[in-house]
Amino acid sequence: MSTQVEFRNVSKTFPKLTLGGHTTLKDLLTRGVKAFDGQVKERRFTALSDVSLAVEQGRVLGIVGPNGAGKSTLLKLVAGIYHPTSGHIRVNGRVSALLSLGIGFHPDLTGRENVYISGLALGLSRKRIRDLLGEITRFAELEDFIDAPVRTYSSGMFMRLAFSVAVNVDPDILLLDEVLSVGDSSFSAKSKARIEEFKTAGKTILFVSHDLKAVEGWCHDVLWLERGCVVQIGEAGEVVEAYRRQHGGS
Amino acid sequence: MTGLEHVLRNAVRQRWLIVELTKRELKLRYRNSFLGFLWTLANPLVFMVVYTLVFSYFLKIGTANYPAFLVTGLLPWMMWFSDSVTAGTSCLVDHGAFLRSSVFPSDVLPVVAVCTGMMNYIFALPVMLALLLFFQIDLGWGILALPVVMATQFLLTLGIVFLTSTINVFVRDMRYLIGHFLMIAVFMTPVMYDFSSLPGRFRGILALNPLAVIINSYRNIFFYNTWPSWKGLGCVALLALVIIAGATQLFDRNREVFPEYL
Repeated sequence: MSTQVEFRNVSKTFPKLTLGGHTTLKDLLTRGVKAFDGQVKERRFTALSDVSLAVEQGRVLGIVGPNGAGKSTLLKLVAGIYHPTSGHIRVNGRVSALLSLGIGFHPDLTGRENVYISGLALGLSRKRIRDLLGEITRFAELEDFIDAPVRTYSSGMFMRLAFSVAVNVDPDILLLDEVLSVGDSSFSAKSKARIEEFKTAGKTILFVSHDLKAVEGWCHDVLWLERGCVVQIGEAGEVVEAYRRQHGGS
Repeated sequence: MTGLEHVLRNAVRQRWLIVELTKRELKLRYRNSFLGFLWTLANPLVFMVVYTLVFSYFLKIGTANYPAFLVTGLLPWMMWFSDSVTAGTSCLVDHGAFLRSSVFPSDVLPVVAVCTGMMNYIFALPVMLALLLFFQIDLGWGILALPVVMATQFLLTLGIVFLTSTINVFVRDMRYLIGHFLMIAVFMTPVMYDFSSLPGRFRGILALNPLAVIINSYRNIFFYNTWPSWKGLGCVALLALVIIAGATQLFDRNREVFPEYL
């Protein structure tokens, strides 16, 4: 078994952005270029600090922790959207991420057009996307709506399409951020079945959730994060139980 | 690897994404409206009518066949240059949601902004040719130089857009500054008037404007029935490459932090 995701002493800090979320010329002029520079360098917020982990191929790693613990940041680092401030990350294989639902979809374009653009952005060839389109549509149960603009979709349809794209592009590593709970029960069952297939096929999954029961049932290992630091990482049942003792809840 | 190499490699690898996104931009602009493309074209045509009235009839300083003269310079300016620079400056910010939550090759976005403007210009060409025909302007071999002129404009616009879109991620005022820049630039460039109508000393200064070289080239091939200034175009192309090299370097050095600032 090879290691598919490896973090060595990874830390990630973000610039603390001022009111409105970004720097304006006014900030620059009133505080000067130096102040801006200092602000960026010094006033940083630590999202993850000194995280080390290794996920072997075929393992499912659950990630738990309260809001703001750094769970999503960790997934974005694996996906390559963020880059570590310090430390090293090694990822082997194609990553497919379902981070925020439907992002990457343009409301005014049809489902088909959106799938096409998402596929290209993921690095698939045009032919491959055409081949996959049927399966993506079928799995999302959107045969009658694939040529309608996605703004006319219900949130469930939107989510089904996003999920269908993410799981049908044949990733080696699948990143899921709090997504299995969405959709109606029949689709939820279907997506769980698809993820079960992934597990059997020996794919690696990183799974963020607040649903401790799902985490316990699905994951081999669990990582417990708290304010950007690793509290515990290990066998799922053990970590979830420790987490429950600390935070209560189910 | 330099920034230029990195950006170029990504753009080539993602060429179909560029094509698809350009199609999307054009489609979105024209979908859901009856007149579609005509609306985009209406803008320069309205300008043409207004300027012709003001310059040719009220002030009586317009050149002969002023509407035809104007449209040959106004179309590449309004449909392409100013459109691409405006959309391009905010392209990274506009796609913030994509860049924040999916692995999206940000390099393609400035390229798409420039391609969209170019396609708009190409779509407007038949209308312009019809106008030239109407005013009985002779078209000669100079028209063969069109791809070279367009390639030069493409490079210059691309360089500017890579620069302004990167800056706009960190300093959002860029978008407003660019609006003013474009307003000033349209008067500093012989879009509405002819170079020869300027006093000599201004002509010397404005001749250094790379956009003037490009607009004059369009005029030469479509209106004056001559070849463009090859030397001038060569200099602008060279300048454009320098801007692109610098701008892509800046873009590449910052690309990793785009998702954090968007």
